[in-house]
Amino acid sequence: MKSDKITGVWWLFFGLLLTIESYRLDLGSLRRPDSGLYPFIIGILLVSFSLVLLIKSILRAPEEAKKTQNVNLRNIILCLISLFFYALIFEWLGFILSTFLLILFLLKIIEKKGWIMVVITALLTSVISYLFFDKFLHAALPRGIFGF
Amino acid sequence: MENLSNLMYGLSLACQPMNLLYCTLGVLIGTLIGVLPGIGPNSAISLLLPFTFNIPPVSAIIMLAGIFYGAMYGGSTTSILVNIPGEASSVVTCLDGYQMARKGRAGPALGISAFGSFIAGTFGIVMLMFMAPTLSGWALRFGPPEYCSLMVMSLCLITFLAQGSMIKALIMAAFGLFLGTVGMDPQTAKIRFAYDINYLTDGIPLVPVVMGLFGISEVLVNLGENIERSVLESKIKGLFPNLQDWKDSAFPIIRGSIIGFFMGLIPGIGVATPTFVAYGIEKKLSKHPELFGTGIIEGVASPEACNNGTASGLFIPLLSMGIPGSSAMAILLAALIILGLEPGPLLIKNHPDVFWGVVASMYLGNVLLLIINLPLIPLWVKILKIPYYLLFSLILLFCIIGAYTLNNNASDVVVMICFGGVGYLLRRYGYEIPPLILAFVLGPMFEMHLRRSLALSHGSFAIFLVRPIAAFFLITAFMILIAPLILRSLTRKTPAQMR
Repeated sequence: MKSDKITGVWWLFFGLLLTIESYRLDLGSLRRPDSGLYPFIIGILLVSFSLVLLIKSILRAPEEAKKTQNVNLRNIILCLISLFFYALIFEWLGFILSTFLLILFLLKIIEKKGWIMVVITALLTSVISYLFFDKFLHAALPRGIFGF
Repeated sequence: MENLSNLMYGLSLACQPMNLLYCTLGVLIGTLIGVLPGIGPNSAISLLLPFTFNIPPVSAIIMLAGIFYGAMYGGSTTSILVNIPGEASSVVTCLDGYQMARKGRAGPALGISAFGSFIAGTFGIVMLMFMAPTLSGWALRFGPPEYCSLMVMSLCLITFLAQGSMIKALIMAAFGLFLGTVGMDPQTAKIRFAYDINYLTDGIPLVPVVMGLFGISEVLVNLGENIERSVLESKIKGLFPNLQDWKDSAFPIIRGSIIGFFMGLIPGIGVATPTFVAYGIEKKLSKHPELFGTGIIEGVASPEACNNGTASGLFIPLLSMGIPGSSAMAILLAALIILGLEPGPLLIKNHPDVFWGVVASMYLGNVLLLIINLPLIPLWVKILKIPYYLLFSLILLFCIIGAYTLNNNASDVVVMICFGGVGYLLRRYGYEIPPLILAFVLGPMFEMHLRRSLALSHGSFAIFLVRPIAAFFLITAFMILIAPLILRSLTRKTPAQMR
């Protein structure tokens, strides 16, 4: 499979990098192993495993392209971006407000639900989860600049 | 007799109102996430882990264990009613369970899986009670080389049992070992692979990683697929199997319990494989093997008993040696470490309250599961109808809150999201997560024991082959590694590939 070749090259690269970096950490000796020895062994293992994967994927007769399911990449990327953005701002903006915005975004942009439904759900989720986790379980969620 | 008095002590602990409450909470949450296909016990345990820091360790472990075996009960409900396994351990249950539901016999199918689970669970706990203390006494004689080779064996086994390619699973295990080395080296105090990022000097935290790899990436996979689900709209009536059903399933339940329990003892075997074995054996032994897959009750009873037997078996290496047998156990091991309980052969001796309290709570938990769950099945079916867009936003939210409340540090949330993305990519390209998690958790222990072994032997690897127990584990590991080469001619066609 083509993806095996690509990921195989990636792991090979990763393993090589790991061996080089571990070597720089000092291997010590088998008698007195230093910090680098164990990751060095892992690096060697990674390199050899990825070589096996690569060789296998090259030797294997090209299978007929398996029907890959239509993956909705847009949703996945949007979801990850919104989560990252959330993680960056939620201490500053406060839990309730940022959660409201996150749920709003997820339901409106990714799931394309109607506005009324989206606003009500986002409002309820953020307030109820805040009450449950912060007030009931004492989880100390961030208050943010507006103080709630 | 000593065991009995210990058990009484455990029961007295487990029956304290608070512990009883946590046990109930655990099994209920467990069943809930067992029912919901989008989230498994691994993510649920890691999600709830941060909230257990404020309660006594015994209660915490009681609840987390409850989630794990509760999920084994819940997983069957979705298998039977929707033909989607709630968990990997109930994949086989789909084969006959869903067919039974289509024939209008969903009630007895759900009933027998609950009773079967109860019987197997109870059997497993009795065995756990007797075997774990003995085994931990035995494990006390283990030195570093034995631990090393035992860990090598569990890692080899978990990669061998991977559903996809074994070489990819080995890559995952190596990657997991690497993740375990990031941060300060406890022996030389050198900082490894942190590249001046302050956050990484303490190492990569386990809980956000697990939540990302399981919770977030599961959501991403589902978001990308737009799956349609249809719940079988049939009235569930008569949960109690009739006499004929009992006759048919009595022996499958017994065999399933035994197979499940003993396979669960082997570190690395996980919960899914024993169910395939149990189902296969029933088919072989049956007088009418051709009827398997058409909706007969044996096909539900055996794997459902089996997965609960395995669930109890898995606790034995964890509690008696500190060696986790599956990714869920690896997370529980991390929980034990975080709660300051020093898992290992001395756990039972030093913290009898934890061991006996948890064992006793498992007795209670199994009873609770039986009496709570049967009447609640209609409710679980309703929960299945919760639209996914609500479910996924809630799962994401819980993950975020869980990761944040670990240390009130937004960096943990960032780490979790990163690993969510990584986990998605890994799943997409056929790399499995469990070997990674197991290696990640075992890694630091493995390195420590490896160094001690080398110090003992003055730098010679021969120490692993001279000591009989260590040699036995290593040779087993080696055989597991070369097995695929030998078995290549026999094409592996397990039901595992159905997923």
